[in-house]
Amino acid sequence: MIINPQINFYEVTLDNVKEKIKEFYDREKHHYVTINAVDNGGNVTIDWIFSDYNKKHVLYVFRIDGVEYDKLIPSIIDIIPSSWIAEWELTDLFGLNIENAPKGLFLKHNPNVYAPLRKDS
Amino acid sequence: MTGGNKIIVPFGSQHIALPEPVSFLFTTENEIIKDVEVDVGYVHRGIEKAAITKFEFTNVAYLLTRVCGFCSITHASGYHHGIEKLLNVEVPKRAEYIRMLVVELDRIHSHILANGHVAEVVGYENLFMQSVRYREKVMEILELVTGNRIQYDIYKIGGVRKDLTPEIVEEVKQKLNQLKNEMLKIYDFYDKDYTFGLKTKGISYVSYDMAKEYNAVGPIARASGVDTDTRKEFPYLPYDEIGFEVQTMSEGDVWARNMVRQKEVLHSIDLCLRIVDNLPEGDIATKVKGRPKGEVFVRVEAPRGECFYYIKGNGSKVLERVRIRVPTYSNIPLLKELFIGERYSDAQAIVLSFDPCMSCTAR
Repeated sequence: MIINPQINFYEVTLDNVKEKIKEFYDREKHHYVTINAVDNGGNVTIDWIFSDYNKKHVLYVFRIDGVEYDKLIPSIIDIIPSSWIAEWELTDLFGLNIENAPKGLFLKHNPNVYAPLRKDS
Repeated sequence: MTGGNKIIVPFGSQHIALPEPVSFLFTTENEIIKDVEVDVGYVHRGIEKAAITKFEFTNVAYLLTRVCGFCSITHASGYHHGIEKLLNVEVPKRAEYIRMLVVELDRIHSHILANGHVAEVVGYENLFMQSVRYREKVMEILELVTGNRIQYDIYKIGGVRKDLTPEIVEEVKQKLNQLKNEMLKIYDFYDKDYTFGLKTKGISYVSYDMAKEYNAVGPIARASGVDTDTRKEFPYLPYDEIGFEVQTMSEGDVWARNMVRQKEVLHSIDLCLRIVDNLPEGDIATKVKGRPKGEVFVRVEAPRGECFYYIKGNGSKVLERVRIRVPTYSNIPLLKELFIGERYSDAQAIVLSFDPCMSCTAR
């Protein structure tokens, strides 16, 4: 249950998330906030989050539930150039496989630490 | 290191101009930066992991306010606003005003220091010293109001821990009025000094389009004319009641970023005076019961810009997820692009005009 009353929620899939964000995003109106992940134990929920420059409390969330760890997740860098930092962080902290995202920006290689924000880590 | 006429210059992770550990690897040609690699991963502290494994939700705020020494109150705001929504708690008006006072005082001291750092790296060490001297007055007010100079911890779930007596209110007013006079002098200096202008005007220009394209936040976006501030877009405290206005400039350079911060210092002093003049009567906290269940998205305005919180509770004492997206994290992609084409000698002023906080970024 999401508490925010003024949230526009879109359930998307790995196949169509990029297309849906491209259709939706207008940089004059929308502010890209970040990409978030929540580990469910064995898979993750991923949110692409946006706000509105002109409307109070309004948020837009594109969500995919149940993404398995090894699935290829599309990058949105060509739509939102600043999104690389959130994509690279998810590869480090959740061990996700995001298109063209290298590991190592936030965490240096350590054989004892892998994907620390997974529940089993 | 050289290759033809290219020189690769490391800048950080420890550098005399950097207040915190971030590393840039510049590829320069005749002093002009042609390429840059950025590395922020020197101090990752695993705070998000600790928040969902080591602490009950009632104690997580103590951890989150340690994300950053400067904007600890921002993290307190983000977390408490979210948890209170999940618990369906109504915070008393007086507590909201006291929270707003501390949030704005925190912004004032952070901006004074950020601008002082820029002044220092362009050659005005005396102005930096003077800024720190003025900032001390804000620290005194914060100590008076919260009991602490940093890490205020005045927030608690349902309200605040400490009330303001009439004597404290009077002293706060007196000190704020003194501070305003001093800040007006510094404003004039930043605005009109010829040499300071020579070193900061036109440097690292961010156009309105670029600020939007890279989703810049905070004073960086506002200095390029983007009218964005979560105090207006996501009013998590009663800013509408005290006449909050977004401060913007259009020049988009190092100078404009300093001027936006200086305008915000003066505006925040006015807001603080209005807060203490209109402090509502009543309780400072309400009783809280229950455990957080559900998801909440929160945006709050740190001194450096939008700070985003996502909190998920499952009805137990320990939260399922706490996500913090801090403003420096949002501005790094733009900062990286900006270096290209600038002189290496301007790199220090460019970095410091962004007022980066690596402690937040690698939380």
